[in-house]
Amino acid sequence: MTLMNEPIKRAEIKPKYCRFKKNGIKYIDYKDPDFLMKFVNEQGKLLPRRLTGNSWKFQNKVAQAVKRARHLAFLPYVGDALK
Amino acid sequence: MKNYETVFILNPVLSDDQAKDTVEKFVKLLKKAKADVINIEQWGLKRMAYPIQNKSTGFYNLLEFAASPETINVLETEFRRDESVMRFLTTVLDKHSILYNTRRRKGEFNKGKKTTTTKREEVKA
Repeated sequence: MTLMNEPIKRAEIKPKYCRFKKNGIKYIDYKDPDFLMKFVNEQGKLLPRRLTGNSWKFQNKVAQAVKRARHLAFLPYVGDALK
Repeated sequence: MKNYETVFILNPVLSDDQAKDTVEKFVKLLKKAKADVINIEQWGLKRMAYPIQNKSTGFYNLLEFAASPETINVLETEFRRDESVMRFLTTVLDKHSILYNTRRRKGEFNKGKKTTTTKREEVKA
């Protein structure tokens, strides 16, 4: 809870960007668990957009890829200490 | 003729050549349905994230082919009928994924799958 009169440190707040738009990635492969691990927290749950910084379109693609990976047992549905 | 990609997991109880025969069976089925198989990858025995039919490892195989949409039902009923197939997933490929797959086959991504035996049949077109 930032204090009322505390100055906001502009330098620390980095603008979030969509890594797919920036790097020009067009297809998210569901067969590659290491890359999908970046969008999943320790319990194997999908991270929200505000944390991953993805745009709406690519967050849907990531979600679909993760669900396909779970179906094919590349990723667990519920994992513990996944990282 | 749309491009499809199927990943399926075979029971680890099978021996290596039994696994190859089942893969051959599906490839023959596709050829009979006049589909042209672009790529076959066998990743061999891999550990699964959670046990399926209380087995924690399985033979992973990838089949990339171009077929007419009717053959998919034929293929999937064959998958369901064969009890050595534990799980399968067929996905349609759009132009981005086709481009991705061709680049992946050329080994552009260092994080590509270490495919043990890749029987590659280039498109005859």
